[in-house]
Amino acid sequence: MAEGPILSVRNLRTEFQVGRRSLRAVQDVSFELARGRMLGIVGESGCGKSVTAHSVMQLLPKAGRISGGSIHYVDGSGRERVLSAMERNGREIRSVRGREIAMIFQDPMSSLDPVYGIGHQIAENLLEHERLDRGEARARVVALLAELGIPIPEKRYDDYPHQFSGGMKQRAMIAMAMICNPRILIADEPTTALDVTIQAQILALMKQLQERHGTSVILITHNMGIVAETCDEVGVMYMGRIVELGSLEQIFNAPRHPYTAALLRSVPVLGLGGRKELESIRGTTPDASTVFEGCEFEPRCDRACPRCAKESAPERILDGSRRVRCWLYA
Amino acid sequence: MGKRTAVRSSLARRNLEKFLSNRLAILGLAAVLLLLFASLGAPLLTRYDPSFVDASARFLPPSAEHLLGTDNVGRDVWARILYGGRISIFVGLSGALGAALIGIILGCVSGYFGGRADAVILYFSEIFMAFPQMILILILVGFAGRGLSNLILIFSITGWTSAHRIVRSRILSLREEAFVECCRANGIGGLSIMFNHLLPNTLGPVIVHCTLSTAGYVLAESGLSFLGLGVPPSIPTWGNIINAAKSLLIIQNHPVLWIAPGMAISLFVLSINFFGDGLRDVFDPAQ
Repeated sequence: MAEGPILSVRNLRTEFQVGRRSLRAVQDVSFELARGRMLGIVGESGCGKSVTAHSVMQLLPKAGRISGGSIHYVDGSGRERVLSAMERNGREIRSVRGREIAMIFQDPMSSLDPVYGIGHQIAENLLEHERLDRGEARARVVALLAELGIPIPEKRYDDYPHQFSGGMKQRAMIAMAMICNPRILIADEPTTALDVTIQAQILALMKQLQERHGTSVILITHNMGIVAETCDEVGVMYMGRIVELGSLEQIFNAPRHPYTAALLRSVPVLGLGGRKELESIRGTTPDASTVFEGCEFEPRCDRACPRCAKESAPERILDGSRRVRCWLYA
Repeated sequence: MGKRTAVRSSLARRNLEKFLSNRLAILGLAAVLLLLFASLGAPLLTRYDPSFVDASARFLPPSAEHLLGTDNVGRDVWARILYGGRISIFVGLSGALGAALIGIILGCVSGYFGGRADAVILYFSEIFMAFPQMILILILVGFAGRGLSNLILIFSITGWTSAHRIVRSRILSLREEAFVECCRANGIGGLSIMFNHLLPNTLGPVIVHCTLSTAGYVLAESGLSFLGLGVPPSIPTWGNIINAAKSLLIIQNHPVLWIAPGMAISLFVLSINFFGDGLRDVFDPAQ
């Protein structure tokens, strides 16, 4: 099988119509997801990471639309399919969703329908995409629940969401996403709503599943620690753009973009000197509707030069493989 | 195993306990069931035919033979109330269910799809709500003529607006829930999301509304029949029994003829209201 990327996003641009104005949530985003690898997309709230993920799945709300670029997915038989050209709620994209590309959402508490049992909802996804009878579907769901470490799965199958704890619900959500053995899993802040011990369990579980099933994963998060523990590659987003994209080692050991560097400096480290203050990035995130002539990070950047405010920085490839969007390297 | 089942049904059990602790609601349910089974089992409780005219037995007072006496043409009043209950309750229930069905379907469509479909449906519902329902019913009865099926149809056509409002507003908020997005991310289609996921989440308040409007339609049927606009007088209903007793002579001299069916109507409406209120406390604690 060809070893090309399974998913490539090229110059993606997503806009939202807010009243009469259109607001650019994602600008010129490109990345590739390699087979069986885990790509982390980090950035602060509102930087466009979720919108990017939703664009891939064509799950944007009514006001949002992809206004440029393309999204290419290579399916199991090696055929390239252009996701961005598919009709929004058409049959074609629906056969991709859940079956080829699945998604895990941030809030497991409200992501399950309260009127149905857990097992029923997981089986519903399976029955939507595969020809099976209820008994076979049930057996598959029970097996997956067991694999995900849910005790007495054949009994928990009939339980309702309110009888599950938060961590258990997120396991059920993972089961729902993984039941059809998707080739890509997009996890949109899968652990944000969970407490720290459960976070670690869920991440370990996802990593384990990914390795066992050879799934390619896009992990969206604002937590640098999670990225460091799980991902192979990292893209850092700020104000709708990927400012730096490289391997885990490149990003964490030698960040090139001032924003990446500042983000890493603002992560608390165990053993930080008692009187030493944790660094923060000065200023606040600009409003999403602000239009910049130059670099979006310029007002907050310590290394900004006059040129940064006037012209948008070009993307440069450094160290052979990493991409940085900053005037320092242009 | 037994313990697990107990945990599984804890919510249902809590709701049941809440309902059972509401004395008035239990009393209401008991009375509704009593009236329902009495009218369904009418042949067991009386040996008279409700329409059998016996000119030699007019205006008999209550006795062991005729529990509530006979009316102006010698029909047994007890039998008429029992058999009349069948029609009255049937009309009330089917009117409420028909109205709810129309309301649910239109509510789903306007809540989930929104946009132009919603605007058109809302526009029609506002037209219907601009007139008092009774006036609308009177006009439509004038056009369609009297009759059992006409009455049910008219009740359904004029009464769907409140169910529509309830379902629409619930779906408007539900469709923004994360689980709907989750369904979409799993490739599940719009219709399936609408009927399998959104609709069951709205049913609680609709069921409550349905019970309460049943009472309203029983009352409306009686009123219309009393005015001679409801069910044809040949069919016994609670309204028709009172209608047959509306002459001054009967009102003064034979009060049982109108008090008895009046009591039946009041008892049914009152108890179904108590029952509905109890249901609402369970389903819809916010109200």
